[in-house]
Amino acid sequence: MIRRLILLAVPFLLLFVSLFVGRLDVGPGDVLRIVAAQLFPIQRSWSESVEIIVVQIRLPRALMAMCVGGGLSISGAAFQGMFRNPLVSPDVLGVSAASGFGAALAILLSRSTLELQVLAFGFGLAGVAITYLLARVYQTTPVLMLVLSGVVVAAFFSALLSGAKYVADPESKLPAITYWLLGSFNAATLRTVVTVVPAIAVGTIGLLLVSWKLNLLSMGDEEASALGVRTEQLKAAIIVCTTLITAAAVSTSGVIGWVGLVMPHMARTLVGPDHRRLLPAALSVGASYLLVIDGVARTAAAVEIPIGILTAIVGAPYFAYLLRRTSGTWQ
Amino acid sequence: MRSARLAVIVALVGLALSQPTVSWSIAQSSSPAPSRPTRQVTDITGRIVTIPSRVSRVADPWHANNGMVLMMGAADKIVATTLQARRQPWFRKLFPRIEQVPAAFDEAGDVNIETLISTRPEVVLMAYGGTVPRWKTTADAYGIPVFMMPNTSLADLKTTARMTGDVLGPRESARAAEWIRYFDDNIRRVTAVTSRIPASERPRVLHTATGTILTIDGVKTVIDDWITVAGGVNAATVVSNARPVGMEQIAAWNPDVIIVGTAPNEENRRAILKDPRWSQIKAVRTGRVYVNPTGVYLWDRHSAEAALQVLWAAKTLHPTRFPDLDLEKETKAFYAKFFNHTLTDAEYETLMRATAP
Amino acid sequence: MTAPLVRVREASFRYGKREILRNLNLDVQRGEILSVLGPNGCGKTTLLRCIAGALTPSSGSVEIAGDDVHALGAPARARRIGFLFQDHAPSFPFAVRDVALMGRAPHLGFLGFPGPRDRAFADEALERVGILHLRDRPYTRVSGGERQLVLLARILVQEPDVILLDEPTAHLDLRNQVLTLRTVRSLAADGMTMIMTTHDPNHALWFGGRAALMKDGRFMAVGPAREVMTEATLTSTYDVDVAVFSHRARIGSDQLQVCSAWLPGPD
Repeated sequence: MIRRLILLAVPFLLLFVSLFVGRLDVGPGDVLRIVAAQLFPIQRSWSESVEIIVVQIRLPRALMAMCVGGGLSISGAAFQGMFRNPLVSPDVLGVSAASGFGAALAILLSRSTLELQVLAFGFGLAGVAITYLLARVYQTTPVLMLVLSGVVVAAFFSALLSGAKYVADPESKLPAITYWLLGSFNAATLRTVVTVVPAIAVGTIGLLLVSWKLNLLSMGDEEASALGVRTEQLKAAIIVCTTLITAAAVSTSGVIGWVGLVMPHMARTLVGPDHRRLLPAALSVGASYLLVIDGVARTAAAVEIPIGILTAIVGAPYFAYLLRRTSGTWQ
Repeated sequence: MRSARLAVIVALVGLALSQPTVSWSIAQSSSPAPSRPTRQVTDITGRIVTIPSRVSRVADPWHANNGMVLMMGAADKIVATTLQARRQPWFRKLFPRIEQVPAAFDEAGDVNIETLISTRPEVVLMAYGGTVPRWKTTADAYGIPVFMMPNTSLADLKTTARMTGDVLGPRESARAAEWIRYFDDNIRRVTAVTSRIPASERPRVLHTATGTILTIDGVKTVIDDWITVAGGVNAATVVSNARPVGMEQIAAWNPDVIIVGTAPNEENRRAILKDPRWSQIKAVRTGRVYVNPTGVYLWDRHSAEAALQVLWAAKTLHPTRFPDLDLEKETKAFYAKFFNHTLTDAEYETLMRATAP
Repeated sequence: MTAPLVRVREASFRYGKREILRNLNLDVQRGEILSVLGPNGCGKTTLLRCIAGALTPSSGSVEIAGDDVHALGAPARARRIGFLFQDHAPSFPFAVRDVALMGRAPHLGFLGFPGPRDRAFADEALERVGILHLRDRPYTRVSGGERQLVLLARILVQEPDVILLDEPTAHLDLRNQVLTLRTVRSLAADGMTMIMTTHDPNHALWFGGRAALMKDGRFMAVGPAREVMTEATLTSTYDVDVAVFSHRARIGSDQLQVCSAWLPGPD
């Protein structure tokens, strides 16, 4: 019970702390007053520029980090259960590669940020749809087929992405594509947060609703079916939810790896494999993780450190540690 | 069966033996015929490069340098170029034939060696950024001389202009010298005023490199150089071109002036003015957000128009200190003299707004 | 005579060009234990799967309590049939209790979550098979036989009409085999209908009940185990010499009937 409360509280605590952290020195008193002013009428005793920093720059970034971190993590947990495989990440069906290509296309064509989001989101959905259709075998979609089709679709879109980088002008477009692919919350504004939250929320709620059924699905399609689970419908529902979440995340913040793969494992060590507890824990752990990482990314140096680099630097060694500790059995 | 296998082996051996012959004959046709006179020039890495005395076929993978060559009146000598250089609307207007020139070089600086060879260049003019390109050994093997020039500062630009002129020939060399004189004159005009500006009155300038993903040009770049010449200070402390920087860091720098160096410049400028996160930055509050002009190439990078860039930047940063500087007059004079083109008022506007003519 | 609980009518199953089941007819009454025996490849697992609704026969039908099994959706099927798989491969270390709880799914709906009543049900089932003391242990850390019991408990929680067991003692040592079989017999004694495939004919003799001998997709004999499992029928089913003999056990007064293959000596 205590553990549940802690898991619930930590992300919000970190969100609050994020408001105090940044390249610019903003007095903690000012931050507190600004936050309070959003809820109660308070006399303004701080400058407009400081309010912009806290409310328009730090707050949206932190919210985005929470949503993306939590979303990717819960998606990873759901997929690891559905595919019965601890090495699966939310990208397995090709959503990141397809979404990445959509964004690169938008950058190449010099489209606005909103159009970029739409293109990236659309391509992400399309990529997964192609994977799903490719994997259909006699009205079922076996998980092995899904994984293989995902590999094919991801490879295809990666190739297209390379093509896009090839024709991109190296002075302005190529760096933009490169940095976007490495992941960043720099583009987060209150408006982009508002556009991304519905998709992530819908997907997350969907996954939480079927979290118990995931236990059954993780026994394998045959057994789950024998236990009365409509496996094809459940798999389709899970895929739709995770794709909504991941495509929304990638379309606003670029490709961020090592969150959907590693955070579910951390959550599993905290609360065990029962998905009723695992999915909410993954949500919390993922949100907290990216809040901390983004704090580092935007504060450690004058240059923005891409999120994807930080999550890889932290995630890969942790994964190696898990591998060693469980001797490859993941128990 | 034995005879069939033997036949295959003989065929393979024959094919293998014939290879050097094939490449040797290609090499023969692309290197300068031994009977033509040659001369030697030294490039920025210190290599001695042998080229024909009279150069008439040049491959130019350096986007900005193509504009230099055009300025020297030698654009018809370009036989291989890049997509980026070919796409510049003003280049196409002044020299339509550039559309037909094969783009043998890709955006990453790699080359399609067969396309390059088929254009039979007598020399490749390129930028040296510290590393020699991978394809140089192949080019050497085919007898294609590669000539490298410096590209990190404004001073380097003069060297490049001189070297380019040297390689192209005496007529172009003379043009390059004229351009360098004009360039130096402009710098002198500007620094005469700006060198006396106290540090406290030098505006802090932020120059954006890309729009969709925000990147900034920092110190130790050509951007930094002309900002300094024009009497400003680079607001960014990061090093090198196109660095990604967070919004909060930009707010921390709080630049006095923002110069939008990215296409589509006008749109990017409007986006900055509308974005609430930029609204409290000094430059936005005082309305000092400008589009960097673009012509045959981007004025703010290693182009021939860099000579105009210093004037434009000085006038933009310190309008009151340059009352006699008529930018429109200078630009029209430059284009007439160096590009043989009389600018109409409308065309001048497109340069200033970085749009197509 | 009441209607049989399970009715298999003219069921055939074809896999590609191969006929695995040939026009089978079978009736199973409520409360029966039926053991299905035969050599590898005779089709007994396929038959079991067809009865479970996991495979659809190419012709013929399977009815359970009057309903065509293949016309039912997965949840309705799971309320009628419990299936114990031969090759369960655990993936995550769920607690024994959580595994048993999974059996409540057919009664809960697509977005259903188990409540306190369901948890009590699961605990009762664990008690019934005698492993309530293991309820908090990860089910990957119990013995093979205990794991079978966990899965049996899960089936009980489904409240099925009939339980199908596919070689429930495969891969188990003697002790765990006995543990499993005792529990199966005890459930049958409570009135649960069970159809079991087995590779060891002695199981059929031990349970009493009925036996169906299968070979090449056909029934060689169906009837009360002690009657149909003669040396003649067993020998022709398994294509080896089988001897059946009685043995008076030292423990208790039961007459044990045992059959064994006749393995001639080296001379």
